[in-house]
Amino acid sequence: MNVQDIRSRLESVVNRPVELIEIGEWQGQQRSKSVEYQNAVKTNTLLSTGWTDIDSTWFFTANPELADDEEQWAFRIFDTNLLPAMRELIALLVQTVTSEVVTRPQEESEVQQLGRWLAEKLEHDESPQELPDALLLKSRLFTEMIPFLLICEGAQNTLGGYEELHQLLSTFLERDVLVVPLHGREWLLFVDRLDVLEVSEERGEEEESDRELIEAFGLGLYELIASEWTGIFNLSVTDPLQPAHGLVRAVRLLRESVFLGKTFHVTRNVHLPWELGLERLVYSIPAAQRERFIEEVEGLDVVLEDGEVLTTLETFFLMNCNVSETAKRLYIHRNTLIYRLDKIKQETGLDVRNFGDAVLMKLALLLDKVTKD
Amino acid sequence: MAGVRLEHIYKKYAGSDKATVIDVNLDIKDKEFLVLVGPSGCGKSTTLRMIAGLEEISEGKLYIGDRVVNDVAPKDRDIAMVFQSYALYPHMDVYSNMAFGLKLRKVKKDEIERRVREAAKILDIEHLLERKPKALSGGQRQRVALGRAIVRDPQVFLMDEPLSNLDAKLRGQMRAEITKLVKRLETTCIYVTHDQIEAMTMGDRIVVMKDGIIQQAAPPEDLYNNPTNIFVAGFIGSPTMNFINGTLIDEADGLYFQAQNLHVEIPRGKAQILREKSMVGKEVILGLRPEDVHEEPVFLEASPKTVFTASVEVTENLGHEMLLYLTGLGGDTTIARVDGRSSVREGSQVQLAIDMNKAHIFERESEVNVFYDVK
Repeated sequence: MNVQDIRSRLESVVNRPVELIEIGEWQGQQRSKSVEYQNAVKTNTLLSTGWTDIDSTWFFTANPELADDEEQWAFRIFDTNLLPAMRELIALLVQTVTSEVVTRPQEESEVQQLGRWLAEKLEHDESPQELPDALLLKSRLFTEMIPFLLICEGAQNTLGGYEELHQLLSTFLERDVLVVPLHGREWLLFVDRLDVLEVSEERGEEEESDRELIEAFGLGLYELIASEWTGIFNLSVTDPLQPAHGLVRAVRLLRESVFLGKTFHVTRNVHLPWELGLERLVYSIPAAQRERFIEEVEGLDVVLEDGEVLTTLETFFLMNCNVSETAKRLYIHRNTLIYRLDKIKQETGLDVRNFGDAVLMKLALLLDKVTKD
Repeated sequence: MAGVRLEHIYKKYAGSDKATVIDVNLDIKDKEFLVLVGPSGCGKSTTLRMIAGLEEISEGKLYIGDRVVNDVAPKDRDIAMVFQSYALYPHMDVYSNMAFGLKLRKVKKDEIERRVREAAKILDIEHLLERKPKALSGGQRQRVALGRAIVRDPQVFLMDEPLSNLDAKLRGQMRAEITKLVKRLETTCIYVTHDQIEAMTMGDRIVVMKDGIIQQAAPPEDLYNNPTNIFVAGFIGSPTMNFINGTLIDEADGLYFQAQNLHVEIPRGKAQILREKSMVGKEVILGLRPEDVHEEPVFLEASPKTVFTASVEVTENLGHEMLLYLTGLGGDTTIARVDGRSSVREGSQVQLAIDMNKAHIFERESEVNVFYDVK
């Protein structure tokens, strides 16, 4: 386990943001801060092992003798009410696990810096087009990459850490991959465009679009991470971009895709923004309008309560309203399907074999999923 | 190797009113080949994904061997999953694709080599080890995906519709190969499919699911001959079982099933069961496999009280057998499977007889098979 892993696990356990700071770097940034900060910097308070309370923020320095000053690090927890018992437990945990800690490589601190910056912009709803020059990783973000957002959901003990994930992806991919921790359970992955699309040059006669290849790669990546790292998570991916430009907006789109995908398609784990257009539109309808629409479809509640009818409708739409194909897919007789569709018509007045009614029913099904929340 | 046990397993997604998987209880024996089958949305894949650790279990306990694994990460469950998409790693050759999982687990190089070569030999892909995935056919890629699972030497194989991306011919071929392979490896296997032919031909035991609930779990022949309800009866078998609505009528010389253009006697033993269950006079559904409708004169002579006349709407001659699509019985089309050399022609009237000893009677309301599990 490395320092970053400890940080993410700590964050989940204490349920508060935990930041990992490079002491040397941090000291340099504090010149304009409070007197207490300046005193701490001057007296090198953070260089003693243990807890330090500076300006209502707790710092924990684990092992100052690990390396020279510049490479020392501390955890920073923004909580004035951190109980002494909890502090002691954290200290015990950190000191135990850091006995074998390897100092972070340069890249890890750089991606972490980017992650912090991104998290801040996302939190404050800001969308700067360009990355600031202060981000050490910026120079590597001018090539075209494909961004993936990984959001973990499983039990805490099934979740691996930065090093494990980075190593897994590096073994899998031919070119460099960047793993940016956004939050304890949320990771942004930058995969080189060529790792995903280079097969396109060798595709031959069967022309697959870039988006089809990205989707196929996403499914493979899902399998890999599910089998080798953590089991329960969602993944979203979007078109290639140069992360140095428009990154915040792209991450926001990826987050939105996971959210919409999970809301409307609970059994899917790989979410593609270009397949969620209708869902995005439906979600943007104000709650009062949604409810009004559902209320206006008579008997819809009766239909939606019946799992069999719901599956029938969803499969019918999936099979492009083709009665024979739907019956085949559901393993029911064509007449049984027609009977069910007639029954739906009787209950709701909507004959989903007609295009207009099918559109209304599809919208009603989507709206129902969001009004339940 | 190990068995797998599911105890009162439920899956409910956030924001959903209903559970997707409801009170699933299964005891899968060590080395058993179990197939989960059912139409789309029945909960079979969700159940498999919970076993794999790819979905959280909302309620209940999951055991692999003697260990509860609800909160164990997939990589630590000692399972190997073959996915529907079987995405191979495009820039790695076949050898590296198969060795990848072992390398991650820091298995020694010579041991990796031994396992990969052995799996490649079993799968007959030794000559492909240096090729990249793009140079492989669909069937070969599927073999590599299987190889990736085999080299891990897991306690349990989990397969989620692994053949669905293959064409019909290859699917048939791979079906047999996977069955042989799993038997040879003597590993527990849980296999998900929506294809009842795959289920019937591969599984030691089949679990039929609908709306998240297990309808029946039984060996293939039991499922076919003794279905618990109309859903299972209709799901298993191709062409599907015929269902004819009618009434049970007690007459002087026995109990009869009466429907439109159909008046057939129910054998004494079965009539006794129906009487004991107070079914006489009730509306029921007669379930009839196509092969239990006979055209041979010998059979018609031997079973005069089950003979009926119907119009042949369509015939399908498959060479070794002919399917007759009959109209006029109970208002729906009835299919009979007769000898391929039959002289019956479309549009003709034909006399047929039913083997009522093999017929099923289902309650109209509950759709339960009245004869299910009656000794």
